[in-house]
Amino acid sequence: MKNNFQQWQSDFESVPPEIEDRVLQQARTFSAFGKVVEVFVPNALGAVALMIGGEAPPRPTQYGPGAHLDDDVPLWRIPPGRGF
Amino acid sequence: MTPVVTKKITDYTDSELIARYLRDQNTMYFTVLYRRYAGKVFAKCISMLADEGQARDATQDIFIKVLLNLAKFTEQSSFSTWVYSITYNYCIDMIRKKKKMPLLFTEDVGKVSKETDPEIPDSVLLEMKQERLEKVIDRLPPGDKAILMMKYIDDMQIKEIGEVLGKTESAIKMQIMRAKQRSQAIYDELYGHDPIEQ
Repeated sequence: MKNNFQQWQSDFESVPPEIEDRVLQQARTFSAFGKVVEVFVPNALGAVALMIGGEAPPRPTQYGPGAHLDDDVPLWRIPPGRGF
Repeated sequence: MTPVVTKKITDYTDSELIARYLRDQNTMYFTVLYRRYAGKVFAKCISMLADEGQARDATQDIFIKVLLNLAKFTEQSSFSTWVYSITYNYCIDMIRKKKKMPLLFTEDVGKVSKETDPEIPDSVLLEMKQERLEKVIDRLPPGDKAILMMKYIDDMQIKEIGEVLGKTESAIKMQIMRAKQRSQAIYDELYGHDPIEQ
């Protein structure tokens, strides 16, 4: 049961509907902005954490032209007459 | 096979709504939170600011603050207490800006009671007729008004009121006592000739 303070307060509780429209419009704008950032900077948080002090992830091996590939060449790619 | 019961969004707790909003950024979760608390926030703004136009702007600003700070809500208090503390502090700041020399609490008025003065029982305020209570509260300094609203409307603990206003528990106890004494004095001034109809 409400006391006299709560009863007095409940007389003012009907909020004009335009306030809801304005607040929720702002909420939608923030939400859309958050999603746009996520699309253009996927894993933004992880990237920031790495920049601040984390270790860089291991990079895949990249071979330049004419690199010595002996250890990496699978058997089926060895040219005829050069192996065995 | 047991049927799968899906919970309606309006049945979610505040914490569930906040977690889902932060995860999905879907405004429908925030809409439920807004509808749950907008009325109470608006009513507090009207009572504190005594101006409907300002209360509208304040309600809008308060919910934008809530939205922007939702990730910082740590659940040390309930969500309602957190929202109301933003509301009271926003209104007190507005009143401070509006008046150059604000009289926030009874002690600012200069006429401070002593600790030995008799304690006014809660029933003196809680048994006042609503229209008389409204007039008495309207005449209180905003800080006293806020403190009494937190205690009698929001049922906040002394510790919680202290956290909202950044004061110690003993200071809050003292301010509640002074606010009640001041309310009694205003009541006597307004209705001293007709005290029967409390």
